[in-house]
Amino acid sequence: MSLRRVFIANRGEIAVRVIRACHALGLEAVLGVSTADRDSLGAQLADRAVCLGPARPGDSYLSVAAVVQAAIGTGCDALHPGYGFLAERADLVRACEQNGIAFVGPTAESIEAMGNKLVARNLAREAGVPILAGSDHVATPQAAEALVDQLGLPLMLKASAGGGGRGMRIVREPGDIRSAFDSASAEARDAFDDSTLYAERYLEGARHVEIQVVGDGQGRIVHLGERDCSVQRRHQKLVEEAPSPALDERLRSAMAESAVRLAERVHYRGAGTVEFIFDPLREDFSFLEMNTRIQVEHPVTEMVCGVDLVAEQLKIAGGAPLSIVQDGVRTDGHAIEFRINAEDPHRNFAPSPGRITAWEMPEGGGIRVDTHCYEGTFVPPFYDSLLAKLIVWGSTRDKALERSERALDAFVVDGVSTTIPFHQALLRETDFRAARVTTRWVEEHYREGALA
Amino acid sequence: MNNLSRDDVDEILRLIDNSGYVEMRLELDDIKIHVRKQNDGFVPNGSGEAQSKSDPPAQAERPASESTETQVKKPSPSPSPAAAADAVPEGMVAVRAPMLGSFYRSPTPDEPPFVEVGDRVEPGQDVGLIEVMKLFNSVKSDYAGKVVEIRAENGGMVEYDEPLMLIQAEQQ
Repeated sequence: MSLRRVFIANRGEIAVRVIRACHALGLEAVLGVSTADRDSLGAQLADRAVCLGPARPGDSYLSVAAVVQAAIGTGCDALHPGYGFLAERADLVRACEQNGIAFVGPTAESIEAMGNKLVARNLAREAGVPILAGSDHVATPQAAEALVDQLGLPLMLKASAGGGGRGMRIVREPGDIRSAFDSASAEARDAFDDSTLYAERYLEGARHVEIQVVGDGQGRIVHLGERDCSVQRRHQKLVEEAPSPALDERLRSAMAESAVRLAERVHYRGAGTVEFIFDPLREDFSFLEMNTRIQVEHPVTEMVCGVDLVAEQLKIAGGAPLSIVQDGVRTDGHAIEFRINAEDPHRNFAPSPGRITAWEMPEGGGIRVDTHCYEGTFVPPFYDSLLAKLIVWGSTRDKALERSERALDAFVVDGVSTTIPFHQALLRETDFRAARVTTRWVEEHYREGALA
Repeated sequence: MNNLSRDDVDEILRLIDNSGYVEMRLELDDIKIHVRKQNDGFVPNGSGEAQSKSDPPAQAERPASESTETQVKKPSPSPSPAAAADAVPEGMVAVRAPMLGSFYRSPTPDEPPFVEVGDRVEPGQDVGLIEVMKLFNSVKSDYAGKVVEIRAENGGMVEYDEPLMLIQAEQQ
């Protein structure tokens, strides 16, 4: 089966990214938009844009019925979900299959297995992937209290249906376990309609490192190395880089082999990411979760590996075998991605929607910008705040950092506040330059006074 | 019930034919029957794979794509395809699609359309149906007045907020 026309069920920079990948492969691209995105760059670049519904995501980008009906009505033979929105919804995959539309992503079963963090944790253990000391389902506050003795403190209560940092509580004091249990399960019930919790030992001072994998759905898996996403704020990634400055070759290949084993176990199809928590002091890593979609930060992998991951996704969805073999994967140099969000770092990263009145992007060798913005773009308040991803490549990390400073200085945005000043300040921090940041670093050490 | 005779099938067809339903699915153990009525012009969208393949091609004419990923050319602020057919002549009001889906002018293929050009409609009156993944939703007029144009094609896909029909509104 070869594809002809792809429906894109997303917005923003990833919609533009997927449209370009479609056109590069000679495929037509149809974009579903909300009323707020009718004039978006994606709507202009797509061969056709159809209005799914009103601005509120629940009636447009999050409506499986509207998205699938639109894909059928426009004669699409494949559907790319991007990231976020419906990207990890098994019911979308099934609705596509029932209507003869190829879903650009894994099977519904893979999404369900990895979407349930407890199931994923057990699959990882069975595949021989290191996991943190932890529990099965914790049903009552009493059971949670018993875990304090069993696992020790600190520990983390996590929602089994969780994601995006919701339904998670770190417990440091024995007296806090009951209230943490109650608030985490209530939050999980509200956010995911499932209050199931489990517990894991919590690692202080850890880094977040993840492995990109690609599978053909027949059990063949290729990995494309790691990304280090330790610069986070409240579990939201701000900066990602490849390769990780914290791993040596032995750890790098051990982590990659673990990720491949897990992906093999579910006969993974398409692009996916296995996330690990890495303890730099003990030099060991443990499984966190697997994301069954293309990630925001996929460009840093593309920059060092020379692979077009979205094109690869589309080819796999069309039934083609993997075009990459493990021995052919070579990484070259270092790439760093900075997320340019419409948020004000001087005001505790408050969202800053509005009209972009000036927009000048850096250019030059080793610089890539993935964006849907230009001068005059209106940033609606209904969606996430990502305006652009600045990806900078250098032959070494130091050269990439040096080039990043110049690129950020040349990036001019007016009309909305952005995270550019945060990134400029970050580049001046010796902790970041020396790769000593942990996932809690921004919250614990970053001060607004450091901003220029 | 393991065997299904020709008479049984005929009886089932008669039942669906005389009913107000457009489509029926019947599953008995390993027997599956799927019956769908297709009268002139009334082609339910959304469940037929063969049909989606023969749809008209997506709108052609894409802007010249950039040579590299690193640059985004400033696009000209042309109206998006979704907004192109939106113009409503002065003095008229539009009944717009409350959701994306397949638009139908009559309650069932055997029945006459809810409204024809020239008919007078009242606020709250049903003027069409929109099917989204086999669920039918009624489209109501918000206005009192005379239907002067029906823009949406029977059985075709309509986008959210697309003008379905124009009404010469009466002064309230």
